[in-house]
Amino acid sequence: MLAGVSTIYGPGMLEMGITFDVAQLVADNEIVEMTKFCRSGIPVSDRTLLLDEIKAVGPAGEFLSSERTLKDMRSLSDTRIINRQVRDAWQEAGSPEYYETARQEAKRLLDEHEVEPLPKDVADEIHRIVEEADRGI
Amino acid sequence: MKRGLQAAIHSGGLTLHPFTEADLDDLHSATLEILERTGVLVEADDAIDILADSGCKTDRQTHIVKIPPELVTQSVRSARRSFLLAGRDPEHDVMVEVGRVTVAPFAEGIMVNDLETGENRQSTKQDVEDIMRVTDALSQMDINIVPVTARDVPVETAEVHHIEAALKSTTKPILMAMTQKHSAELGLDMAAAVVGGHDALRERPLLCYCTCPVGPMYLTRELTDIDIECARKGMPFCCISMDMTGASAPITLASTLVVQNAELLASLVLNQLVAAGSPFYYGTSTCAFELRQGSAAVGTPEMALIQAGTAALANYYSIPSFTAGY
Repeated sequence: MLAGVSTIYGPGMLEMGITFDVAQLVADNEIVEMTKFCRSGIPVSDRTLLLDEIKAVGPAGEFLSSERTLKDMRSLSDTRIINRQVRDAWQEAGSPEYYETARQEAKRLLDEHEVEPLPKDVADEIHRIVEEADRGI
Repeated sequence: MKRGLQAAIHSGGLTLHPFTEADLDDLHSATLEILERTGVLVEADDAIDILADSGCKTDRQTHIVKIPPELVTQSVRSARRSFLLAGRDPEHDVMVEVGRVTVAPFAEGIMVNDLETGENRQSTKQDVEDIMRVTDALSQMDINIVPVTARDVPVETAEVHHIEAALKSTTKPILMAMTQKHSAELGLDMAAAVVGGHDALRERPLLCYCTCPVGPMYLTRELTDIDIECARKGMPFCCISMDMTGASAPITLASTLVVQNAELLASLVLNQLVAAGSPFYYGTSTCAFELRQGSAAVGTPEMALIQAGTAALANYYSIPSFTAGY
């Protein structure tokens, strides 16, 4: 990614390209998101230096309750598969395992994600071509 | 329309430059010397005809084709810097560009870990559909791909079944391995049925075929058939070298890149001679052979360096690149 390749392929595959694992694909999707985040680097400008904010809060203050923190909190990274809770909270949530979380998310996507079907005449035409190819063997 | 994340050749953000300009010139010159003096082996006569007609020295007995540097330079110049991969839903269109990063899953698996039972078993046509539907839903997967081989359909027509499964299961652009000319033609007919004819398909290519040379420097009939077919039909083509350092390529990473570059540039020359300006992906899945274990291990520092080096070479040529990763 950092070398500037146009397309990287790889998510979901295990075992030197032999076994595909759809839970791994879901986990990798999040890794891709994080590497893209890193790739964006640390933009330095008047808009990002926030000198007024630092001056306003001052020494020994805090930024948790700042309007600006609330406004931009979603600009930071987020994960659904990797668990960022502290141990107590994680145990309270049932100690979810990494692979199992990815597997459940993959199952949820399989259950819920619908792809717009092809128009019936197009699907029929495509299937006819497949059947004709099979007959030609 | 989606454009990839800016990288490497732009300012700002993290970048990685594995080579100096002098290194790249050296790798390029070494490749030109191999192409001109050693040549590549081209299996199919129709591909040799095209290369011979354009000034390559060819030997009909040995099938060795020697490519002059001017022809390589001309093909690198005529290749596109960017091209469209269309989705069935135009919102998922992707512009493939030099220096902008997009991501797709891996391809060509032959087994899956079953999502319900965890069992490691042979992949099926249903798996192709299921995995492609999950990929369709995933935010970071810009391009969809046929991830595994359907092993429950006839092996002769598996690629045609893959296309049916793919067209049904995603509205993102589709990459897929293709080795048979007849299947490739049928696939374009199927995709044309979706977009309303072959002219419309040229405008909105839903499919991009991927084929591999055999290392070192052997362009098989399968490769040149698909390479020529894509160029003739105005479709994008992805050529993926799969050399192995220490097995099908020499033992250093630099020489591996030269062997791979010779394969990719020879495929590019053929592609551009058929139709100058054809969309061409400069691709790799090259790794170092694990000589102690006898395996093609991919999660290795050699693999990472080769992929970065390949991207650097493609950027040097201003040709979109396609590499393994994650």
